[in-house]
Amino acid sequence: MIKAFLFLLCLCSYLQSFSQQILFSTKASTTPYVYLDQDTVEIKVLKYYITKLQLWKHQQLVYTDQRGAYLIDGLRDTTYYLANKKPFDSLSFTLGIDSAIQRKGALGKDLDPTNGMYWAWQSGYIHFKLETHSSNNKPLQLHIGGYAYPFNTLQRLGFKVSNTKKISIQLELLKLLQQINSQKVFKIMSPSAEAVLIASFIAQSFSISNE
Amino acid sequence: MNKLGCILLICLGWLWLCSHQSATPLFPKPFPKPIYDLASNPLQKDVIDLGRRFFYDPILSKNNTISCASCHSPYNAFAHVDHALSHGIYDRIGFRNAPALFNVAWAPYFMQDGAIHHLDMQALAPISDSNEMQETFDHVISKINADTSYKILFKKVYHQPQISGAQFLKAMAQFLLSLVSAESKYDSVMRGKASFSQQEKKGYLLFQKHCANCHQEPLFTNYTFANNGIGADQHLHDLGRYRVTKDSNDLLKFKVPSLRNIEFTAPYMHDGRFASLKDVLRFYTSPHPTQANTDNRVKHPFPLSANDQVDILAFLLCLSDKHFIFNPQHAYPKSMLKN
Repeated sequence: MIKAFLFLLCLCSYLQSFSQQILFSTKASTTPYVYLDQDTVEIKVLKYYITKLQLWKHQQLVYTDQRGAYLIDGLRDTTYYLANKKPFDSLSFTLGIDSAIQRKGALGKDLDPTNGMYWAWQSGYIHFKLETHSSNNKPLQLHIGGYAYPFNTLQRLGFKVSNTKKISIQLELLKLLQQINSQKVFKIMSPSAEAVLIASFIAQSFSISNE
Repeated sequence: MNKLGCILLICLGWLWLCSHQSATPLFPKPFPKPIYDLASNPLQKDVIDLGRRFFYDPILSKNNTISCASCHSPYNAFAHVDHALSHGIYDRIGFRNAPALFNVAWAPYFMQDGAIHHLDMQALAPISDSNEMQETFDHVISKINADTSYKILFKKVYHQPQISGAQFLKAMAQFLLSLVSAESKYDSVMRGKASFSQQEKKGYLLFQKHCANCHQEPLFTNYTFANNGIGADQHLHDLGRYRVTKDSNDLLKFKVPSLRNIEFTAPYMHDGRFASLKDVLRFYTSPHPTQANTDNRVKHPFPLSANDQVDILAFLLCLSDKHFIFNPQHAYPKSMLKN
């Protein structure tokens, strides 16, 4: 019992030594439901990749996260701890998998194709997957990917950070669904001009909270 | 006694090497450096054997009836003989002619339209295609991880009873990488170990003049995409490379196939419309309709007489590699019969 307590104490102090905590979450009315145009939209699948997470101080790079990719399940909050100990004032990351990783062949863990985030008929990771169901609106099946010209859907996002201890990155779902609805796009399953447009909407729907 | 001891020691060392060293497939000298990054997936005999087992196992399909070998037979250089379009799960007919499989380490793209950009990821396409195996990849991995005979193999190869999707794909790629074809008569002639007959030599010269620009030696392809002018089949409406790039310049372009083992891989073209090599030569030597982006090299009929065509055929038969076709290491693994 004492051993277990000591172990937990050590684990906590170990985690504390990593001064940054990053929380990825989805801002919705009541996850997984979003009230949109007097309708309740149920989010069936919401997954996306975060890569090349970097921290900056006065526009100088101070830290690059060594974990290749984070597969975020947008239907639950996910917290990651960064091993950076240097001061920083901004953060950036890529939404999606870049060509350098795409060209590496079969990869494991978050990048394992068993995660359902890899297109089978045409090589490439799905950067962002959103599938919905509702009674009034058309269901969405958006598999946004493509890493090469002219349908490169990769998005690089950057945010100023005031509280560097705990950073909360949010995807504002209502804002995203409103933008998607305005385009009357309901199904995307391959790299395309529409996918590039939706990718820009997705990027605009992320925000940072420095509570 | 000392001599005997030395010989014994050398023999034992050799035996140890045979049983432990990584299987280095034959990457023959006239071939260029492989495109595949072998450092990312170092070849090992036990992993190749595992990949071979996956290749022949119908567990990859939804109803456990269709394996990779169903459409890629080793005795046809891993093409599907006598089938313009292969039939997959529930006897559904596919979209394209199943291509031959060999020398894949040198290929920068896969599929007739180059939709797959890495050998590791190739297996995902037929597994999920509704006309081929109609299975989900995560379910394939669940099925093989639940299979007792595979658990034993995984423990032996990976020292763990279950494998990841990435390990499955790497093993499959290793088996495909081991399919190297470089022992044809052509190869023997190039190595100075055989010589062409008069007719084959004449065919070779004609081939170099009219065909080798696209079907470049020694792999007999330049791995580009081209519209050879045969046009889209009216039922399939296959737009080729355009399907991937959505660039109108790529309409009706398909990957230039290797001509190695061409004797065994009938029918020909992406939709299998030509049953014989004679039909193919007839197409290239007769006036035919063309499209705006038909490749200039094949826009006009080749000026080849009937005798010239026979000579070219004689040369093409020199690209047959029976060592490859009948290599027991590529065949259905006998160990699977026991299970």
